[in-house]
Amino acid sequence: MIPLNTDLFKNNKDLDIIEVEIASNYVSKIRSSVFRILSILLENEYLDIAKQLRRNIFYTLKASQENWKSILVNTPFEHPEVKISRVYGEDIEEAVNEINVNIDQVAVFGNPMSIAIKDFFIQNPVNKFYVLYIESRLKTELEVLINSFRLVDIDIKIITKISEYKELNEFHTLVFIGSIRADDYTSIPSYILRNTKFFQIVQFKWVGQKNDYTPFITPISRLRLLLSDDGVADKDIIKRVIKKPFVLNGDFLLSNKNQDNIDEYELYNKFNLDSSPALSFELSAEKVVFYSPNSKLICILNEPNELTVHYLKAVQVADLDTSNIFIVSFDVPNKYLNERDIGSREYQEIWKNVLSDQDFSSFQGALERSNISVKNLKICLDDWCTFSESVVKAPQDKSNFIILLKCMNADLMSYLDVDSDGLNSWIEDAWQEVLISRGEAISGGLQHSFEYEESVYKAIEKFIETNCTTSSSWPNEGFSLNVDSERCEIKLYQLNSIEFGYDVPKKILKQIISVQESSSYR
Amino acid sequence: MKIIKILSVAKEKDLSRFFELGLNWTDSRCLNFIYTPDEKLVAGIFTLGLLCRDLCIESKNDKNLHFNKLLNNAKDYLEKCKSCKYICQPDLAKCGRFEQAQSQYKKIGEAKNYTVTAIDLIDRTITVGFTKKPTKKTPYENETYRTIIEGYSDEWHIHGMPSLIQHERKPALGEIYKELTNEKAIKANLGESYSQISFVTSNLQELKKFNELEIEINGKQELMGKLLTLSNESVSRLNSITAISRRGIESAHQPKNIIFSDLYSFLKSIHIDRFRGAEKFIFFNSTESDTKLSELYEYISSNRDWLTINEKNTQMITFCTGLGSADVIILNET
Repeated sequence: MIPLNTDLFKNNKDLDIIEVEIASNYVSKIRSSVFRILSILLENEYLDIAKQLRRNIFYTLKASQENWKSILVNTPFEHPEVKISRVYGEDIEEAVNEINVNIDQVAVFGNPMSIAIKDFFIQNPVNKFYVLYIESRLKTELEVLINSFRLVDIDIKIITKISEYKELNEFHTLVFIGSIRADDYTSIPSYILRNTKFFQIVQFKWVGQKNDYTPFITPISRLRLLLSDDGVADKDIIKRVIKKPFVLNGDFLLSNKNQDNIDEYELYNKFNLDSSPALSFELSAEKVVFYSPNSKLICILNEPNELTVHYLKAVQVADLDTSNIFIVSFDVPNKYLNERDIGSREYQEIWKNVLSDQDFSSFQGALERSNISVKNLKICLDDWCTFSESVVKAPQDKSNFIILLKCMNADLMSYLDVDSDGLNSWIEDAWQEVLISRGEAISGGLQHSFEYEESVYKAIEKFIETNCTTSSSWPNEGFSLNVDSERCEIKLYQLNSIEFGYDVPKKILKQIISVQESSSYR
Repeated sequence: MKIIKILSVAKEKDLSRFFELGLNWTDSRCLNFIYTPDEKLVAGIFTLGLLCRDLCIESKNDKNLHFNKLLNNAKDYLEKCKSCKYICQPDLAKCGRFEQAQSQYKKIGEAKNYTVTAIDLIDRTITVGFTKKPTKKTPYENETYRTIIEGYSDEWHIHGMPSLIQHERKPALGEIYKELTNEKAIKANLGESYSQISFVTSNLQELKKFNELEIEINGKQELMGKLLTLSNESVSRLNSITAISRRGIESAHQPKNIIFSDLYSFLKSIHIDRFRGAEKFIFFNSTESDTKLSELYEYISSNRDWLTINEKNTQMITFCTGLGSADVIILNET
């Protein structure tokens, strides 16, 4: 038996990485302001704007152009006429102003990224042939930039795809912009790092952005690492990492050191947009409930001499003394969650049942003869037969919908017991149902559940006023109330502690779950 | 010491080590990940090794399963497919099958196609029949029936599928298999089908390449595809599956050894219950995409509680194949 050595990084033993770290005062300010806006947006559930802003900042930080207006593009903040503070709050307005001021600075003093690239190639070229890997959308502007250097003696080849890389022979230096990471935010595909054809990497990145060298590890070693508990220190992987700080300040000095250490890739990766930051409320009986910081909840303060009920934001509750708080939990009736959504669904039930009774092989032919314009008819038919809770699955166009229902008119007429005129108007109604369901699926019943919460709060207030003047007469477990002329079971949980720093999928919020389940969201 | 060379590639390559590895393999229900950075034919050579291993062991044939296969197919045809209104859309029909059961049976030495007409599950018989055309003697159509009985079913097979035994009982390629197995290949096995080794690939080009590859052993040359019984041989010793279509992968029966020639095939078939008890060999190389690799990492890390590294076997394989320890990992599944 030969001794086992963990030969982790077979190909990369002697790889040099030259990290050119760019520090710039005005870019740092932009980066930290964007971060501030994003955290506020996410807390307030402006998901679309947050997503757009995140896309923009990733794009701009790699761009070599001088016009950075693209940071705010496609967000409401790009229009000066929008009253930002009134809609999104003063914090965001302040941050947007900061961004705008510093975007002007970039235009005046130049984009530090392109200055750094220029400096590198003009002043300290390491060899004569470079391969530059860049996302294809950035290719043109980078080409323009490099051509403007008027480099003699140095050959730079720009590639944008792995297939182009595969065609290359061995070369000396690979250049790219951004972080090496093990996830989708990486600037360079791990394929290239796994199959090295080069001896040196030159990397341009902003100060604070960190590298993760795991993509260098061979796949089998990676499996070994996944199954064993000890991680690998970065220094083991790459023999030499040379850091070349590049500082550019414009006309004012670097002031706040802390702002420089943002790693967008790390931070924004954590901003999983389907989940939101949350506070964990640990309750009695090993239960936990999550609230996003700015959502409101009903809680009852059990003070020695009086009981009071409050409707507060989660962050405000966290400021209170937790020892005598009860958290109120109740089920919101379905009709408040999606009131209009339920209503009429009788049409789809009929036509879908008739449809699934059809002999598909001949029915498909009949549909094609009636010139239904649907691709993949087989798959669509299958889809139309199924019931969905939100949308009525049906052909997208009205004309196709009519053809579909007319093709089974005999069955429908006998089922409904109507003549052909009656059927026509029935089809119209069925189509209306489809349309309504599509509209409703988009605008949910969010508003209704807030209304309901308000009325529960008022009912509890009344209940306490009349029934429990002292804390001794307080029903510790729970009670039931009349809310909107319906019974509502109120459950009470004593609050033990509140913890920050959770990241929870939206559907878990406000639900009482067990402690074990909650630990996975930390 | 025999030397196996792959001809028809730019450089003659000796991949005997991988063949020997297959030939001497002891099954242990492991997940064997083998990373071969530059070599793309290793999976096939290894498979040939496994195939030759099983040629040397008596009872490694489909005799016991054969009648059940005929019976189950006939049962499904009569109960499900014969009267199915969906033109073989298993998702719609929810029948549990993934492809159409065949109605046609054939007998070795006869050109006729027999249609399944009835089965008897208690006596375990299948009745098949064909229609005789009117002749001068009998001027009307008449049905003729035959019964397939367990124990006398070896010569029957489902139309379009390999038969259990070879037509002339004269094993083809006997000589070269003998060379490969040091004369240990059992003659009877050479003429009988076997379905316990599955070769799963997503790359049809690769399969085609196997057909054309020529290998040389001790001066004798043969096409790889023939040795692996890929190219329409009358018997089949290797069950080759394409992972691209769901139907392909789902229709596989329960094998003892599965060779995946790329990560795509492996990840596609993770959820298949019939593959669970088998020993799996996953061959992959540097052409795997980042997405497939991260899928693999995700699968491994989410199942890490059920997987342990088998250091002993890992060392053994690195030793036998001359691969680095960063290229092989053997995992025990519990």
